[in-house]
Amino acid sequence: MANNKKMNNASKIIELRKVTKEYDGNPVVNNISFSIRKGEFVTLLGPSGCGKTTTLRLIAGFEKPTKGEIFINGVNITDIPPHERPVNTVFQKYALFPHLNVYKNIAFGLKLKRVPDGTTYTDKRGNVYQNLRKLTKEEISEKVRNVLKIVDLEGFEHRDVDSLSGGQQQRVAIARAIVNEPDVLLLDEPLGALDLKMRKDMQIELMNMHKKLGITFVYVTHDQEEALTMSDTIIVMRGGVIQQIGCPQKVYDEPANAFVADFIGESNIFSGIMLDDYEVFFCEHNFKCVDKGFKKNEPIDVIIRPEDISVLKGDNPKAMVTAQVISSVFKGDHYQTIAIIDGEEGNEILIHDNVECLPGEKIGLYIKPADLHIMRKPRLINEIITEMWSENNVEICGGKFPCHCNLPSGAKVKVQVDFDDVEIKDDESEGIIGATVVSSIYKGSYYQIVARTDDYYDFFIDTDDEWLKDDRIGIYIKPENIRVTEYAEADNG
Amino acid sequence: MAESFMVKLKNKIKNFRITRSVFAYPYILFMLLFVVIPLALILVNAFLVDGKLSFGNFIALLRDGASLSTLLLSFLVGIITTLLCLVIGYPVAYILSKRAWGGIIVLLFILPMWVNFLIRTLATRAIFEALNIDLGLGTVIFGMVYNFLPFMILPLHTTLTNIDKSYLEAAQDLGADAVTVFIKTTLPLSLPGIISGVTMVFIPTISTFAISQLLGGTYLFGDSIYNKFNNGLYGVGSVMSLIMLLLVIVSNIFISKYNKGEASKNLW
Repeated sequence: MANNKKMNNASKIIELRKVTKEYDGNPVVNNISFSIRKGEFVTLLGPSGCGKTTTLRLIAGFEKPTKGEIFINGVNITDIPPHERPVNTVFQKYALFPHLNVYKNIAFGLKLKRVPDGTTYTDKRGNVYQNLRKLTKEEISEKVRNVLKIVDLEGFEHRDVDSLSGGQQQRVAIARAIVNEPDVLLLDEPLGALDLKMRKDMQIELMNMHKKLGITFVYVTHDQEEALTMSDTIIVMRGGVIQQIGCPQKVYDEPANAFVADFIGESNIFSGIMLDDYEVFFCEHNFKCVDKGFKKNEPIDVIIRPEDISVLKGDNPKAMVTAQVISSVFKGDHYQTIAIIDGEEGNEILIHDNVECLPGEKIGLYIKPADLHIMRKPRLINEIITEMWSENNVEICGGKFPCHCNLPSGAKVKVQVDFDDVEIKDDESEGIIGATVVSSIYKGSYYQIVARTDDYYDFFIDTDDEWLKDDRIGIYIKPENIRVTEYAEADNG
Repeated sequence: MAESFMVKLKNKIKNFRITRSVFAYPYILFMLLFVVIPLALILVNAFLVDGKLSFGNFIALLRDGASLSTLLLSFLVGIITTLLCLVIGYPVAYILSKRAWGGIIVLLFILPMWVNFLIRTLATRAIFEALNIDLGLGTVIFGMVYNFLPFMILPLHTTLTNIDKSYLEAAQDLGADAVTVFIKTTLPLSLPGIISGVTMVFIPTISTFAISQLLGGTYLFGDSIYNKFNNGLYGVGSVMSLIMLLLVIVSNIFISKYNKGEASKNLW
């Protein structure tokens, strides 16, 4: 990774600047910026609907950004159609032409390619152009034969694409793309349709191909393991927004927020308070940590990887907290133990250690200060700038919420609602407004879910129940829990 | 023999149960009476001259210059009509397949088909007469195209809307501009639609009667079959019908050969 820092801007092959893509006014990709270095293997990682495929399609040119610019090799290609971009794509379902055989599929791009023939001509104004020619049949056939060797499909030239297995079709799709020697190869969940064994083999083959060809790979997947295995850099996305950009080790060891921690690998996430520099309070206990620079008593999230927790048997004085074992399961190289930390909150903690525990057993837990990952909370309270609907009613995301506020209709106001004051209704019609669950993270003793209203506002909600992603829910807030204050800043502006 | 047959029949009646296949009997009976038996009669009639087996009807047809030139003219009208339908229908189907509201417009194209074709044709004739346009081969072809255009647009529209967009994107991705994408992917992938459209227009055109008589006073193959039967020339009429039947069979083989897989699933 140290090498990468030395590289200067000139080696940026792709750059996205403040790119937004909206469908009917709904942002799918929201103001993202990142750059990719030449020869890098970059993975766009995130759950379905996070905007990763749209980002790839923006680079390929199948979608036009609503706002922002895209550069390839320093050239602004935002308005250049896909067929003139120096990129090739391996599609999710391969998209091999059914009316052509393997050879013709691979040769498709080569037949359209024009290369300089060595001669030039000068037009009336004195500009010199290179004359272009098509590739000869021999050149095409040699290139196709070489690429078939790379993907290990020699002798398949005249096969019908429908007669190939999933893995073979996958290879043809890759061959069809790389035979054009693109600057960037875009791969849209290319292994999604393969079985587990085949996936593992293809992962290794793709990595080898990347090394051999030296082409920049941009890879889209929702599989965190695939991303960790293959990439130089991972870009984690959620809800059209980039959560973190980093190398696999960094994304795993130092997740930028609770979402990244939860999405990549298993983790314990607790809400806590930063008491002072190097001192944190969570799960009803004080802990030493290595973080500083937070405000006193600032609410934070603490993330602990299960493999970073050690189990101490008996009354070991080193134990930081004591807990009661709920279950302990042998997983081959470790025991997966779930325990409840002693105290009133009853926080659940997941432990991966090579010590066997019995259900009901009292154990002590030890965590190294450096293994407590502390991060600022993305939001402390739900806050919306809106208008009064009428006296004693405020508009929130298009819904009419009764509240205790006698400002007149149309007055600009700021509304604040605590996470645990938002009530979730199973039946969407029982709530005042409807919303879709975007994410759900377990925080030891409760779930924190993010629910996106139809107005694209994300409500953070603390709840005892687990909700699945994409569930439709109704949102209700008691009038006494809605804090409404007059919003004055608008007057200044 | 007869006794054992009666026993079997009795057993059949005794053991008669309503199974699923029973529901097919009325249909099978209908097919026998109105499709299989008439076809058999045509076949027999074609080889029968004065109650004797003979190829006389075939020879009579070959010697009948008028009938042969009618057949030739029918082919000509059929080919022109089919080409016109394809040239008009393909762009329409293509544009409509790109639009979300395309399906509604296609429905509008089909709507006139619920009006009886005789009424439509008579109305067309009335319009021509009102506009003082002389009836002739041109008006016949106009009537044909007007009548059969929906049969071209429908299968084309179905095929074109079912083409996976990712093929077009893949072609673009590999360096094809809009025209090349069309020629190298859309066109070959819509071939099944073209073939079923062409057959569905060509076969009915050469066998139609009435339209040509009403709109041009010319006789096409369908009309001459009608006339032969009307004039009691069952033998020659049957031979001509057999030729039609042969054309239908050949075109069906053609369709099924090119419509591997998906396209044969839908009716068009």
